[in-house]
Amino acid sequence: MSEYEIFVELALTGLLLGGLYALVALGLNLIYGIVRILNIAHGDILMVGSYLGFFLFSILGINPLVSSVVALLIFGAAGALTYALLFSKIVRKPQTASVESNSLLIAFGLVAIIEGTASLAFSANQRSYQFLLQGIDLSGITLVPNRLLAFVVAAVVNLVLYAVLRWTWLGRSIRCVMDDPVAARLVGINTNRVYLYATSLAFSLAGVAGTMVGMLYVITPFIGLDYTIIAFVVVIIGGAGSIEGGWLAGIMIGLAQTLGVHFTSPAVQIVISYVLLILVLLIRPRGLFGKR
Amino acid sequence: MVIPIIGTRYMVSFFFSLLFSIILAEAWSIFSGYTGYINLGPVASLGVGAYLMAQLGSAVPFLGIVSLSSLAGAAMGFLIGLPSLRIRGPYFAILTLGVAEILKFIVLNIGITTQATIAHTIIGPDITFLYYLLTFLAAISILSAYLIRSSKFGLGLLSIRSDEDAAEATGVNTTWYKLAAFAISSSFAGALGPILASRLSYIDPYTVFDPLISFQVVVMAILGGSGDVLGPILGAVLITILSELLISRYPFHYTIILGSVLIVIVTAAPSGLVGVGKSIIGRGTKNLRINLRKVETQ
Repeated sequence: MSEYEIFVELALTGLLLGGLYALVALGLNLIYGIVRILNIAHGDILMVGSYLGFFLFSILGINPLVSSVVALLIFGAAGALTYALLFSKIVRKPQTASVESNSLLIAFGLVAIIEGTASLAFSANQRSYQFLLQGIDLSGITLVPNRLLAFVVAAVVNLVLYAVLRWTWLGRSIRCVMDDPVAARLVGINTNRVYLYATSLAFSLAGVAGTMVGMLYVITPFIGLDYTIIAFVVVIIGGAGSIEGGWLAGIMIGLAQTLGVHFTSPAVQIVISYVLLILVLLIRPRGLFGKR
Repeated sequence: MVIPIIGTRYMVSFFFSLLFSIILAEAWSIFSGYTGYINLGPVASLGVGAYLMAQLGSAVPFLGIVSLSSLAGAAMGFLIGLPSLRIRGPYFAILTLGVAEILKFIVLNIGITTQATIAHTIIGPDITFLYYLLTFLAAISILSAYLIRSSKFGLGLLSIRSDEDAAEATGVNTTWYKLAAFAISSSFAGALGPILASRLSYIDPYTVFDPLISFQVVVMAILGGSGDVLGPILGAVLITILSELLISRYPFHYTIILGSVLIVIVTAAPSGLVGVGKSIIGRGTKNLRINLRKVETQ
């Protein structure tokens, strides 16, 4: 392989990884950008989604793409239920500081419950399955089709959500609540309902991202925190509530990690994303596309 | 104080973890509770303290290492705070989590690149001595929290939590206030490092930089009510007793039960346990005042 080919392959791998990161972060971006909930449990919800995909494929032989649609529906319902039962109780209090710290505690509680239940129900064993793993050779550059599939899913989901936020009435009211919840209420938007939709959608997206993660990587009940952290790094670099920012940040991190690991050692992968995070925050504390 | 003399080994180890939690939670709220800047990485200075013990344990007397770790903790609070404290809200929270994780991976990488062992066996003082040292540190942490809370410095920190721009405008040097509080808070976590290392007697980066320790501290402090001196103590007592009761009886369902209890308490008492206590007392005195007024008008 020539040096040029190695570079192109690395860049392509980084790009595909970045797309996955953008998908992983999308749900967190919504719930944090709109409801201002610090959802530390995001990665654990994603973990449950990855198990859903795993069991549907290994027991019933269902295609991960179909699983992701199933996840979209099931997790959406779970999100709506979680909002109605838990988050609605603290979001109504006007002081933002206590909303953020209390939502953090509720999310910690969810982490403990989800991880505990998952390790009982699924056992702590590592799981994975093989789907579209046969590499395609593109004139010297190898491409794994399941990564490409995950990237396409990520791109489609991001685009659809972007379009919904931009051009529909629901999207306009969501953006309005994001900018100023008090003003939104004044012009007649039911903020509580917007929060409900946003939480439900955030859980759906975590589930979809989970089915893609389960298709690509080995899963255990304890992968949650790693994905939560990746998601937070993407959201913060991109700017809370910004979809285009999240997409750009995801690809930045994907590229930086792939190239960084190639030129140094695999151990630096996580350090790279934090160094990127710190650099971006020092230069631009609101994130690349953040308004606040 | 008399526990090591009259108590069983089990009692000593229970009160050891209780005191340990009280110090961490109280120290956490000196900075995060009062200013509202949530620090998700108190484990950073704890871990550095533990590794100082591993490196210097054989050369320097134990109390020397404890003081050194506390200084190192303060320095870290200052150095981490200097660039990061201009970032507000949850961004700061995630950044502190990140710094603790970076430290963990740096220690791991030092082990990999230098071929040195990153796990260490620690020989420290016996638990009775550690227990008395913890009692002393707990007293100091509570006293500092009380003194800070009732001083002009504490008032400045609280004003940062309610409105940082207004605080700045009324002449509070917010940067210095935040840095000082962060340094004080981290120095306690640093001092606990060598104590934790001696108690565990075997450390590696995954145990002493465990983000779950940080999360537990945050939960204790906020659950108890982190804007108050009494709150973190209440939270630490509650969580430690609860963990102790659950982990022996329901080892597999322990985290599930603890998580559910946490959620129930937070939704029922959004302002912390201390807040609930205050509102009950407040309601009592309000009734009293109404009754007094009735008496006066009659």
